[in-house]
Amino acid sequence: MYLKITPKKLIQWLDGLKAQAEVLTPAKVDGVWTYTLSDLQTLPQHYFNSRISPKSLFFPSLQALLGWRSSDSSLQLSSTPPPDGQRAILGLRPCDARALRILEPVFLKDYQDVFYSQNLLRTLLLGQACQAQCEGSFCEEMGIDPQDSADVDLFFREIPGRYLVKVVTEKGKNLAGAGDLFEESSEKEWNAGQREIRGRRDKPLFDLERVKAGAGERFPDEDFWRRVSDKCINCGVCTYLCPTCHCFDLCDLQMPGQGVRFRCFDSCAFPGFTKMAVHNPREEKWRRYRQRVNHKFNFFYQNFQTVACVGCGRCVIHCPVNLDLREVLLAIAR
Amino acid sequence: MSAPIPEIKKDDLVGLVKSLFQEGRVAHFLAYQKGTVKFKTTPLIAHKEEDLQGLVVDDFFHSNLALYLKEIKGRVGILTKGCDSRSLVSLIKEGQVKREDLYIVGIPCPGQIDPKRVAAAASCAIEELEEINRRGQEIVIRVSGQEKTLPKIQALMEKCLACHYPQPLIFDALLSGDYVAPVSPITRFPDDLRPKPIAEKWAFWSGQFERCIRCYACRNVCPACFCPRCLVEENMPQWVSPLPSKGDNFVFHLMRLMHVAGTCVSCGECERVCPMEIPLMKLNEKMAEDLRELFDFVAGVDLDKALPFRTYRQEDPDDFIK
Amino acid sequence: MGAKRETKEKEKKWEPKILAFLCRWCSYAGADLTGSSRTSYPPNVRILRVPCSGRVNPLFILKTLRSGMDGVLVSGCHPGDCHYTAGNYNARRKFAILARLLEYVGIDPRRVQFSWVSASEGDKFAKVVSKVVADVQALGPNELFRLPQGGQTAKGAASAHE
Repeated sequence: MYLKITPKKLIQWLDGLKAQAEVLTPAKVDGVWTYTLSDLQTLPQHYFNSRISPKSLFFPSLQALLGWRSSDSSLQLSSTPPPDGQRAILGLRPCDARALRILEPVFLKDYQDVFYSQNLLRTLLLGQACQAQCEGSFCEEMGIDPQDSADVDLFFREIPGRYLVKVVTEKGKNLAGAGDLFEESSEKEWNAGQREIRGRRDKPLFDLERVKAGAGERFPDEDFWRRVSDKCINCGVCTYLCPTCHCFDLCDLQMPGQGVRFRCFDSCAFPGFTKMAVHNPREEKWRRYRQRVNHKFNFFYQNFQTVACVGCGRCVIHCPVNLDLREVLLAIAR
Repeated sequence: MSAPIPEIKKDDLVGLVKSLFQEGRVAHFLAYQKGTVKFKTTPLIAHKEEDLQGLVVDDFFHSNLALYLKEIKGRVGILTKGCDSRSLVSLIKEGQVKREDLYIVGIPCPGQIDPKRVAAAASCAIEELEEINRRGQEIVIRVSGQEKTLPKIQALMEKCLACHYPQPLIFDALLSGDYVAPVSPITRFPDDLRPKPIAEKWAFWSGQFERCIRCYACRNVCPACFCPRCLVEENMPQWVSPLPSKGDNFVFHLMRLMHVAGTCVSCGECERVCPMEIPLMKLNEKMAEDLRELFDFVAGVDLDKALPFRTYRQEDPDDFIK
Repeated sequence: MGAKRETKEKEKKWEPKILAFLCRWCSYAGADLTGSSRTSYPPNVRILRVPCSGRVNPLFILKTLRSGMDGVLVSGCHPGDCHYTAGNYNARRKFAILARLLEYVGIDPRRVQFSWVSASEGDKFAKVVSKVVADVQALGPNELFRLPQGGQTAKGAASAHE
């Protein structure tokens, strides 16, 4: 189903939405694009993508899980109540939206993570088509269409004078129906709304199928992994900004007579990630890097039939030493 | 020193490094190559002659290559700007590297270009910048097909504006050309936070440390942070919680600063790599100024001067103690 | 510390809680003398004996504030009198830098104070402690970056996870 809306009516619709939900939009906070409550009344302009992926709104970097109080005679446990309150996220890019789906087998399959599932249930996902290729990105190589998405509730394409809207889910349909602000449109109009992506590469960098096969084939090639990971400095920027990374650590805050157990992000790039009392299987940097690439492009695919990377490019741009995953994937695909 | 320091032209650099490999003078060489992102270079770590392909000398040498000396031991050659050479001096003083193991090719540094500042000065988005080139004391850029000229002072990294050490302090060879005195007369990094009342300072830093995600890019990119096992990795007992909460972030950053005091040379890498754009240089510069004022100490300048916490004077400032 | 005692403390009016790191050879002995001379000083101070003021890692001071104590006092031998010759000289340099750094990030210097108190200065110790307690009393409870405290459910802790 396809709809369209004028910018003026979009403002009205967003105002109506704000009355029943927290509307988060990208805005510059301290110089950094962040999803936040803002006065934005239109889709964000001159905006590529947020610094930290919106994954953090569903799987936060700091999450209290449970608390305890102990007295002389007893121990009381209390679980953190699941997050509540309706939300809407405006300006979500197809790559980040896909990432939310990729994380579903992690958080919703064998064990339901109440925080992730509640956050998904209570959030309306409003996607926005990209108009320019993000530097460092390779979303199309990962099978993502920058101008379309099936992973959101409503997807917006901006054309001169109006927004075209694709209705993806029932939830989206119901919310778009409210207030009669959207007009009907057609698939023809929707297709006509496709534009030239500014700065788009004219041909793909690599073939994903070859990457998937190559990562495993190259697994025993120590020289290769040493070479490609040589300049890595073992920080955690790539993992923390990544929309699909999901490793976490548990940490207790202990105070007299009570405490809280938290979950926080962890990074496979850290030297201590696999450290145990006796042994660290990934002591050397090249092993950790090999694991990172294989986890995302090989093992995750084998387990869940999807690659755990959406090609958003954040790791490429923000790596302190410009270790470019695209170059590594290209080398693997050869 | 009996032999004169060789002066190397840019184009002869690769030849020099190849001969260093051949003579066994170095087993590794640290330099720069073109980055995969516009206006960036990336470290080139050569372990043999063949790895030198792609070596460049340009205006985007942002990285401080001394950081790799934490990992790469033995005889190492390194391309070094003025600020980086101070890191080398610091590391030698800290016993992390031996002077005789290093072959230092110094770059008399005219200042490195910051594409973000160029974009701001040209009032355009960074994506619209097509080319940035140095022409004497000016920077020539191309934005959406149009050529524009900017004075150097608007295009350089902020840390370069207050630089007092553009010429490397220790070196075995020097790239010829371009050494130019500091571009502006400011003596320190401008900081409007210092005169503010204490509650405002707290509000400012609270806001900053709330945003820290504890990615440790600042720590890992820092040549002064060479501990094999960082304080935050200790969990028996847990001195600093790994949780990215405001209070724990404060403890992490303040402790990191205290730990690098005397070795931090304000190279600015921590601030450059922070994905949340936290102004870490404000803290480093304050620390450096305090060390200078209280103990007449400047990091990474004098190989023979004792590190500030390894020595003391009878007359050390005492007035804050009751 | 049991939860029972914690609740009783909460019910009383707020009193500053100060942690004092005292060097074993001078300041701790000085504090001892204060006691044996029956000189009064405010009971708000908890004493932690260290071998030397130089043993005090800046991390201890930060952790003290993080744990919710309202103020810190570090006290050692007078310069020149350190039992370990130079421990207090080293401490003096560390604390000079730390004090300025804390002030720069917005922590009032009256919360973290330093003194030289010798083993014979029982009176001085009492005066120093009284001054620190009075200063911290004026500043109010430490809300800076303490851990979430008292009566927090997991939800409360999550929202106040400072």
